[in-house]
Amino acid sequence: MSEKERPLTDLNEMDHLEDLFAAARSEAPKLQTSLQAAMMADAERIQLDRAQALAASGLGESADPQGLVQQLWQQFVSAVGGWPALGGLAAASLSGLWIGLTPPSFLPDPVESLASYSSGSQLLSDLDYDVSFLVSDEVSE
Amino acid sequence: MEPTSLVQPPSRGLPTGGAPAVTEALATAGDAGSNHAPTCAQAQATSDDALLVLYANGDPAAAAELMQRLAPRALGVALRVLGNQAEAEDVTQEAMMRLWRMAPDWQPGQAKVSTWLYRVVMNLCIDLKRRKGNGHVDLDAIPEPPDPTSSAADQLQDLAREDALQQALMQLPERQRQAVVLRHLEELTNPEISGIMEISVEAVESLTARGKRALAKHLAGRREELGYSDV
Repeated sequence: MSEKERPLTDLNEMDHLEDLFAAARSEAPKLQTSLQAAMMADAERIQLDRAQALAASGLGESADPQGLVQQLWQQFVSAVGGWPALGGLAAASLSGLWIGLTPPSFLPDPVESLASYSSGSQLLSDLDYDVSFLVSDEVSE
Repeated sequence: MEPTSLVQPPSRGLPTGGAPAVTEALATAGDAGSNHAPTCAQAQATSDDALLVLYANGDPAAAAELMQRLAPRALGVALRVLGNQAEAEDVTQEAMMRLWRMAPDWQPGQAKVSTWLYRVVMNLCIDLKRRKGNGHVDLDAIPEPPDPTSSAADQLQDLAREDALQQALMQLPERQRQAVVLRHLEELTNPEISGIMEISVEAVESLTARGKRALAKHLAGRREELGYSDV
């Protein structure tokens, strides 16, 4: 039901209500002195706590050696191009290590070839050759 | 009092304090042209936003100015919703405490400080009512009727009308009372009330309309006593 359709008595009641609202609005509540003092004490205490916390965190940064390590690490990370670049670097390193330890079948096994080279007679013969060559040089001089 | 309901500031993660925040806040207040360091000498012309940033940056006078501006409104709303002076004062102090605490996180220009404070007050009132038990009406909440034999008839009639309004308000359901107080006593807009009560604008309209009808009904039997019989 709209305001226009309401009976006159209802509208009068609403007018009275508006008068009551207007009277109530004109009576602004006053803050008690004790309440004002309590609120100001809260404000000052919180402001002081925050200032002290900020001062403490500033002192801590300059005296803490861990802070220096962290700063150097951050400089390194930014020097290599940030965290994405560092992630790529780590992935490439791990891939290389993995391929080195378990190479695919189409690649020669570096561990096996190194083992065969170092344990074979060729190494000894080469060594024998070098030694005999040096010895012969010294004798001829 | 023990806080049980937390209302978040409009945004988090703002770097604490600093001159840029003050400049931004003062610019919002229309003081951007000034090259002087912001002090509370300018406080009268400074927005609530800027005062809050000044407070967060350590200006001692900003708190006093903010308190003078905001606390009476918080107290007024709490008083109307709770109907009890001591409880309303507790709620006001707690709401202002939360304002001081969240000051470093405040982002100027994103919301009105007063709206944020109203929301905190309303939530604290709801918490308090819940703790006391639903539907319980504190006898202290209902003002004493004025003495009709007093000689200052007009003053008493004003007092009687206000008391009658408060008594009628206390008969309303909690949410209706909040909506009516914010709309008709604090004269906030429906979208503002919607933001404070965290409901739709349509719901605000419905609550205020039903609240007004209920108030009119409660007051209908007291027309003569309140001096409306001659209308």
